[in-house]
Amino acid sequence: MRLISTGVIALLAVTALAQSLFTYRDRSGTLVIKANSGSATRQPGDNLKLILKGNPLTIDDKASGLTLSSSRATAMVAPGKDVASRLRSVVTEGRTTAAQTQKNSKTTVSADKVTYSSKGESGKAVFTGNVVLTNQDTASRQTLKATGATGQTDFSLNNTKSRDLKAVLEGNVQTEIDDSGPNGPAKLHTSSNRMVLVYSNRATTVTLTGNVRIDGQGASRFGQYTNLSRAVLTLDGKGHVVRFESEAK
Amino acid sequence: MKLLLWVGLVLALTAVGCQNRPYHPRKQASAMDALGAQSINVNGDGSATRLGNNRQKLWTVRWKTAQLTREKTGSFSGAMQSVTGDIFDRKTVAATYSADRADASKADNHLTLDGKVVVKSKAYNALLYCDSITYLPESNRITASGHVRIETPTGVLNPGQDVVTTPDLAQIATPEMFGK
Repeated sequence: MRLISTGVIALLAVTALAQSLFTYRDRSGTLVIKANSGSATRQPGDNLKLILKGNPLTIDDKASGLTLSSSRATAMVAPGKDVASRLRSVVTEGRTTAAQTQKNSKTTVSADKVTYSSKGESGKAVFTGNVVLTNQDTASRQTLKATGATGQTDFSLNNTKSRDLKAVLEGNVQTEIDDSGPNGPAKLHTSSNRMVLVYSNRATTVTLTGNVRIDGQGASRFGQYTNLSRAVLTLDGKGHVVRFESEAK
Repeated sequence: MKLLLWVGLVLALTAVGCQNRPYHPRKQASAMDALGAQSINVNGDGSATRLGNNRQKLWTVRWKTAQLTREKTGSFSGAMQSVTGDIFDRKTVAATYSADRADASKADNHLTLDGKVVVKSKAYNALLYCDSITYLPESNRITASGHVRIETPTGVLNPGQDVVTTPDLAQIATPEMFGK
């Protein structure tokens, strides 16, 4: 009986919380923004400035496949050509997670601060502080994980049907690539000053520069490389390293 | 005797006309006012305008029926049904509204609307739907509560709680976020 009462109270609390969210939805349902509290102010050109606070705070833009979650954010929404509105910019404060879903791929980046902006058909997100990037190929389940001090991603806003994303991480970049294959589990650990990831429909390239170190583990065909100034790894559609180029210092 | 009555009526009308009334009910209400009635039941259309201290229009209300009270100062308060009207912000109409009921405050210049409230921004294509609002002219804001929904040119806001807005609906916010 006590358990049932507790359950009912918890259910009521969850329902009350769900009902109290400050929610913005564009007329097509493509852009949905939710927060505990907020303010919406009309700007010139019928743009709408949203100041959002509280947890959960989510910005879900189905048009670009971008989802942001944070505790504080300022977003600018502009009228679109049709009923869909456009997410023009977002600045978050506090730990933020940005997830970008593309064809057969999901990239998640978390950082202390995120600034997103869109122009034309492209979007850009700048990440500051304790950046953690994870990319998973949803078909092969292969993953790539990287950490750095700052980062940036550039992507097409029409990329839910394609795979077109560039990510740059800087400042003591550590990378872990799942290179498991027929020979068994394998991983590549790398460290560098800078890393550039380019995802496309055909392949993924990982370009490492500055104090590059690569360490193959498990069934990896890689041994250990140190003191490289530059290294380029090419991954196939299944996330396996199929090409490797390097330059020594 | 008839002459005395006419003289009395003319004096009463003159006195009402000279009063610095912040709120002006018209038609049936003004006729009752002339007779010096304190409680006024109006069965029929009527309208009124509330003026601020500097004689600026604060809001207008048009009703189908009303129960009003004339104060000694000349101002009016009370309830009105099936109302429409205007909300003013610095001499211009900021928004128009409709509601089932309106209540004009006796103590201040507040206007409260209840039941199927719709506020339409004049300058900007926004609509506020809710169960109840109170217009607070002294702070230039509207508080809205109950099933609040705002339609803007870019989309729809469902605050899920009470909100505070500017009279023209240019800013809509949960109370702690208003003005930020």
